[in-house]
Amino acid sequence: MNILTLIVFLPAIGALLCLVAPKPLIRSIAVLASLVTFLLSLTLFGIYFGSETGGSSTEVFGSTYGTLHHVTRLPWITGESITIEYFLGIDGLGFPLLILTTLVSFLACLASWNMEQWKINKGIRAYFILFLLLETGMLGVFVSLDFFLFYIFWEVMLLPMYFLIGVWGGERREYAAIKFFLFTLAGSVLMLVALIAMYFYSGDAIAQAGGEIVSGYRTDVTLTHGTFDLIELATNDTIQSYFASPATQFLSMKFAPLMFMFLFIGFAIKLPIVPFHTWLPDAHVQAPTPVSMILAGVLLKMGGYGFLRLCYPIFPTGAEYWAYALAVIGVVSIIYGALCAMAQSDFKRLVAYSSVSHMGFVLLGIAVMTEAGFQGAMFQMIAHGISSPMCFFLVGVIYDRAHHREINRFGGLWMTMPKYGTMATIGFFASLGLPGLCGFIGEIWVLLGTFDAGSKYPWAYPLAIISAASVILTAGYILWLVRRVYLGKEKEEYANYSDVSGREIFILVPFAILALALGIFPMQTVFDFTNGTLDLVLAHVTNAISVTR
Amino acid sequence: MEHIGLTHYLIVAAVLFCCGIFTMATKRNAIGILIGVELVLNSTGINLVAFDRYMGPGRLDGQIVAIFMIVLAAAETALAVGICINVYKNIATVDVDMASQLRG
Amino acid sequence: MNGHTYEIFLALGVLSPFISFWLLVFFGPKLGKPWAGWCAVILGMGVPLAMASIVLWGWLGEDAASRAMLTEHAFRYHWANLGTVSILVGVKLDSLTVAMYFMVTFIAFWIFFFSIGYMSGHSDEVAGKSKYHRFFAYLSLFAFSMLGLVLSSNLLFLFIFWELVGLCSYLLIGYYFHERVPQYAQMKAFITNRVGDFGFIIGLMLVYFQLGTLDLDDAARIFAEQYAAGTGIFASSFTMFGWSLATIMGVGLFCGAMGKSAQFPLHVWLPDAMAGPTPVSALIHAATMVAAGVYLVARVFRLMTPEALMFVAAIGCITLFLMALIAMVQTDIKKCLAYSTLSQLGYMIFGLGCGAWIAALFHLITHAFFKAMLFLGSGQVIEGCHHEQDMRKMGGLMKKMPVTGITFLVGVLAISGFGIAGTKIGLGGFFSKDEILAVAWVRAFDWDDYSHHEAGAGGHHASVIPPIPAAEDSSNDVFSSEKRIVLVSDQPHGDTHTTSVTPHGLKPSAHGGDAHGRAGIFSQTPTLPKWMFYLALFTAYVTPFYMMRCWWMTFMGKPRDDHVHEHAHESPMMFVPLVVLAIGTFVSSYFLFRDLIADAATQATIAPLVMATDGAIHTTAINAAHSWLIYGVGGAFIVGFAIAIVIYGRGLGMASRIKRIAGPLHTLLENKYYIDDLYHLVWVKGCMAVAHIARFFDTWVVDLIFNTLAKLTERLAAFSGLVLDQHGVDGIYNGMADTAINVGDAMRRSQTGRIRNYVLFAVGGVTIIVVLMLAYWGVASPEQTVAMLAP
Repeated sequence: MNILTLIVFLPAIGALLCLVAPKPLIRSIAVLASLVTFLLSLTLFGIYFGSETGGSSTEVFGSTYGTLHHVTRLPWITGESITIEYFLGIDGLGFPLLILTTLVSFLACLASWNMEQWKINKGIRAYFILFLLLETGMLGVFVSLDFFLFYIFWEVMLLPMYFLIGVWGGERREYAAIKFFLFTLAGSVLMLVALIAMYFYSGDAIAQAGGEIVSGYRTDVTLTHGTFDLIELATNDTIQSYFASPATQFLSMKFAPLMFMFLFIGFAIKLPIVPFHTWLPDAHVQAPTPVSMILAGVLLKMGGYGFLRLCYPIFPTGAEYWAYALAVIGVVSIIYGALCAMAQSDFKRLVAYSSVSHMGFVLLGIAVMTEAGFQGAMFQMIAHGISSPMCFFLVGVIYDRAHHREINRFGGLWMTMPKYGTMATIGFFASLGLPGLCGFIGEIWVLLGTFDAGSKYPWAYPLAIISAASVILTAGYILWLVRRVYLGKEKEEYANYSDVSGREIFILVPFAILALALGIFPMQTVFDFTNGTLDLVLAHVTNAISVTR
Repeated sequence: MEHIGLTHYLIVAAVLFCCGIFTMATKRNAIGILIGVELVLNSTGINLVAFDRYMGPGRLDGQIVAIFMIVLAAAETALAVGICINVYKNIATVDVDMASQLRG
Repeated sequence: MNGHTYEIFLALGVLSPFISFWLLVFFGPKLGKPWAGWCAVILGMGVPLAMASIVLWGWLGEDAASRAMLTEHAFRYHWANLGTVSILVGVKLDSLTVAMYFMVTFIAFWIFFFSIGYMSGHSDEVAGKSKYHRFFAYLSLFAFSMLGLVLSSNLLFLFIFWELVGLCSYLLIGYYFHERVPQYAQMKAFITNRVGDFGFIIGLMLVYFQLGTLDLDDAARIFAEQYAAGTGIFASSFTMFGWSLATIMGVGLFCGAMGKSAQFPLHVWLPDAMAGPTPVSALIHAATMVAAGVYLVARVFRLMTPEALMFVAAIGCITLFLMALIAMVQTDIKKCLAYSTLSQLGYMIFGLGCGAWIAALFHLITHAFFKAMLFLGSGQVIEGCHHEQDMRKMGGLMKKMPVTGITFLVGVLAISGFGIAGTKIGLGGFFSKDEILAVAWVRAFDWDDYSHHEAGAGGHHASVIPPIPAAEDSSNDVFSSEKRIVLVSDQPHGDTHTTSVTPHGLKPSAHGGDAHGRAGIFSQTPTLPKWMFYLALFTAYVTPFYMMRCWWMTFMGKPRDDHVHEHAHESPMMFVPLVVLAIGTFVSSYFLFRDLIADAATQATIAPLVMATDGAIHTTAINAAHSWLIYGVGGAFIVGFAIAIVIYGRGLGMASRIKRIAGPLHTLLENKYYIDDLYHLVWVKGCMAVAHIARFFDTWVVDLIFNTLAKLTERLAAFSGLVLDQHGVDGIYNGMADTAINVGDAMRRSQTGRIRNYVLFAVGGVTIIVVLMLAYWGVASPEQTVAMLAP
């Protein structure tokens, strides 16, 4: 059995076990399932260290985009003119996010351990089943390379999330859950249009080329009809040139820019970017802590992953067409998110808005299409995937004790809970982008990458400078937060709070260690695993752009 | 005086039948209705015997059926009177309009 | 020592405090008081100091050639790839690093030592929980970051450690975070620094983008090459405020220094930072971290343009003047020292801007010693006086605290430039500040003559010495033929007056060949505006005044507050460092450091556009300049001291009379020119206003749009779902069902449950059937019927 399949469906098996297990065992089973998934996903490191490939850079990443590992291809739905495959595989794009997902899921599952003490503490069975199904959905998104399969996983992930927020959330949970669901669904609809259009247009391209063409990246394979294969769509010259051709139109608009935009909006909502971000604060505020961790740690990354996997390789000309708009939106997200965060008085809301700001860097880095920008964007995703779940858990820890999240009502917590204070400092300073912690690398890489794009796009200079100003704003809101919550005189009402428990420490420490490790050794922790593929994607994109020019 | 034939019997039966029907249609007393039913039954008995006598002489089909019918009528009456008594016990009357507990 | 021994020792010295930091984080509470402190002193600073001493010893034994070798072959670790650019990290091994490293470890060690004494007298418990170990953990982290900063060979790493020292400063200023003032002070410090970092990042972006590297040496080399070839950053026609791209790069990097070294207009955080514990003020906000900005400018000197340096000089000049004026009216002993620090940092920055590279860094080092000592002395006073910081309540402490008083006086003399003009007898500032002023004078008054002379000389040499393209001949550089003369005549360093320049690792062609060379640089370097020199000179008179005022108010005269006076005492744990640092002030003024810096200058200042003037200006010229200047500056302290003693000699009466006369000016100075208030109004309030607008916008516009959309959809749904569907589509089906029910109902009525009705129906039915039959078949006679029925 293919290891990816196993990893993806192991949580689902866990969910099945939860279904029949006696009640006291449920959470143990769930934690165990997510732990085993995590450990199993660690074996994937083998592809980088020799057991699979010999370990050298070109062997791991290949020389062109589309070098995959642990590939599973099984025909799933086949017919006269349709081939939908069960097609899984990983490369430098999916791999780090896969590991991140299994890790964050495991820790979030552990964070659900004290569910009995929540305000809404019913339905433990349902909660963990949904949680594990969510994990399967998320993992599926990062490994499926058939668009149809991708779309299915994308939607599969949506429903458990809806229930997790809507049932176990805060006071306005229904509102938040529906908002989350509708926003994402609106994006999914556009994605669905793109899915169908891409299938038929690739079919048209093949028909125009004589009805049978050789695959772009697989030897001995010929294509006779449209395809959902994401790698094929990106690497097949016939399809690519047909997609990029200005004569190819859809709804009497140029195909590539339009399709790019459809896909982009679908992913941008997930990222999220201004102005599609308003679901995020609500969802975060209402969601229970572990769900917030998943939401911030993994779900937001799907947007960025979508850009890198679908938008850019398949529609490079669209990327070129929209580059300026995208970069501007990215910068607006950075600054606007930071400003909004500054004005919040709800702890969780503040962290949620800081996510908007941080994800703006991801968009900016990708939009400018430079090596450093891509690398920085990817790193920022991983770094944010570590710092933001940590921050949300930190909020959760104090929420469990105080049962409110009003920043101004806190104070002096560092004195009350020294260990917690130390962890919080690491978490929030990582979020602030302090050098030596993970947030810094992504930001500086993106900033330098944006500046680097100035030779192609003159507008990149001012954008780089404006986004650099965000370092001040970020410092402003984080330090202000730290001052209001952790510093100051110890307050009577919090004086008897217990410091973080063993379980909580167990969840926080991996995050803290990773935040440090990523900040100090970015190459060994992230870049070595991603850059090869990112450079290939970028080479593919820039090459395609220069060809059409 | 004319020879008495089938028609006469039939007329008597018809009159009897009409009386019975009329009784059933007008009486509210359960016993009265029962009497009406008996009349109708007996008119039928007359018809059976009359047709047997005039239409198929030598065969006793009609007569046998008539006897059979009398026996059945007796049993039926016994049953019906039993119901009446029970109804009376329950609602202290045998007025069928009053017995409306099972009405939907 | 050979190979990478130096680097290994230096790196070990950096790692040791890092280990100490983690030890204290995890086991600090268990170690408790005072063992956590000793952990930091030994592991956090003792080991680095030992390393620094070994390295210094070894380094002094190396000759110029082997030093160059070591610099060039220093180890580089491949840390990451930034896009396609490899980021290599390593130790920037040169004389400046060695000097700075030793200075930092030496001063820090004694301040750590002092801290144990200081903290033992301070309540470190808040609500029954000790923060003692945290203090030393932060100090260790600071030691790690500061040493890392000094060692970094890479601008990005310099920036990383730059931020980390900022973090430590943040944490340490806010050590008493249960009080209100430190909370704000720490935020102010960090955020103001971030404003500077914003500029730093822009500078970094330009370096990365235009020069394609972040390594200091590589960047300098490529910068020079690009200048020679007219490519890269020099090919750009982009200008802003009349500055070329290269200038913007320099100014951007300098912005970082403005934040960290607290230069106007980003100076506001430093006085507030005095809210931190006094050892922290001494270590971070006087001796080391604030000097990091100066160090940065010195390191990126090779990437500067004349315009950028002019900006640097202007900022330094404004800072040194304005801050010295504020220092005159301060009554808080620490604030007074803080403003004097600002002013002295202004001198350093000003010196770098003038091109007095050696002098500025020399001033950095001497200043570090005596300012650390002054702060520790003030800490001793504050500690001894029961946490009283107001100098108006002190006075007459000399008898109670003799050691402190004397060492403090040494500091006052050193910062005031005490010395005997025309001789080589003096203290700290006497040498370093003088030198800065001398260079400034040449740049401001004598530059035209001088540069023409030198330009001629340069041209002359160009014709004599053939162009030298080969790297191995680099000792034969254009300016090696003339001796680089260190200018100030009263320098104590007899031997180092002449330092021949041997630019290693930098090809002569990098200077644009002889066509440019020194002559080219001279002609490009503009004359310094005269007001800058005058301001700097005037401030040299202000400095002794406020320092003597501070000392006199504290230690001399009559006790003004009995309570404070009675309590006053000093403890050996704390005055030992004072004595050591006082000795250090002497030593640093005469030995070691200036030589090392002058040695480093040969390489660290080889720039295609600017030059370290103090290395290149001719002795004669500077002597001419200095003939009156040496007395003008050298005597400044006498005037300053005299005025201070006259005013404060008999208590505060005269001072308050002057205060009344000065009126508005005094108020202006007391309120720090209202700059803090302005910032608060414009930036803090402004930023919060914008943030609230953003939040308002988010809630009431963005969210409202989506919510309205949702509402509209809901309404539409209500219309289609309730009105259209229920009454339209559903109406049809419901109608059908209703009809069925109605019909059923109607039918039901006939089922009365009355037998007589049924009988009637039955009769009626039969009648109808019979009638119909009769109508159909006709009325039959009985015979017919009989016949019909007959078998």
